[in-house]
Amino acid sequence: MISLLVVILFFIGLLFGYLFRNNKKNRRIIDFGVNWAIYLLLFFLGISVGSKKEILESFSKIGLEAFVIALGTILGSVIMAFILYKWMFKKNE
Amino acid sequence: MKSSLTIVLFFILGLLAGIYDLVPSFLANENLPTVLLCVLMVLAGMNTGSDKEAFYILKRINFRILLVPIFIIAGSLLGAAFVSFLMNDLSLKETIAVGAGMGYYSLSSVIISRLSGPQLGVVALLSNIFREILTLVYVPILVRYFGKLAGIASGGATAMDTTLPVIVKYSGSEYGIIAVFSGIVLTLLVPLLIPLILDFFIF
Repeated sequence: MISLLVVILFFIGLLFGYLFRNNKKNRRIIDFGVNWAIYLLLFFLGISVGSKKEILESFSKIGLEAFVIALGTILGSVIMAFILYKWMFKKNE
Repeated sequence: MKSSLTIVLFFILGLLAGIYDLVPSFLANENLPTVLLCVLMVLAGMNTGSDKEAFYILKRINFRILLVPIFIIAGSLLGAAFVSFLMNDLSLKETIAVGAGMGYYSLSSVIISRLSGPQLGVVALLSNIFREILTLVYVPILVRYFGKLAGIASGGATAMDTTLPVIVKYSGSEYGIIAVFSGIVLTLLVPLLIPLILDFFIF
């Protein structure tokens, strides 16, 4: 199960990062590794999208769905933040 | 979130390689992306675990500030659930998983494409890029109508870096530390929330 593995590996990383947090050189290497792993994975995502006709053909629909989800998450989070702001933050100003 | 242009560039390069069938055979290995994701998860964890600024900020939080990322997560997931009725080929679970990216498009899209497939991966990539762009553009309006936490909420995980300047500009510098705290918590939770939603929730 990849998803469980993802979570466990992340926690292992957190622990190691915390233990070796004083080594500046390590941090630069980690940063470099994170960036390139992400670049390559997005390159792979591009490949698998590019080689699937059905995704390419529905790209405008996918874009619209993505946009609507973005709007939904922004409005949802902003409304919840508004409730919290009224409740706990505004009176302290 | 780092160098977003480079990230999009690599995606487009891959897209072109896929369309014109220019993929070198050693890259076509099915297991390579999975192994790479595993390496990335360890490195991303190490990156956060070794962040001294993060621990300095964590020491300064109180109950009020702790509630900020919790409300933002709840709002984001509820908002995504609400619009899932408009999606004709995405399930409730898939829509919420995309929303759980919290604007952290690089990591969320690669995790989702591994766990669910390239189509949802692209939705996650685009949706979370849109969240960042919309935040950069609409923070002034959101803050005016929804209070000073609105920019932090809209920015999600990006409130700690790319959208921080615009948040501080419109909510004030006293909200900067809340923005960074909330951004750190959300950045930390994205790789946990997505697998949780995609694999362990039953919708």
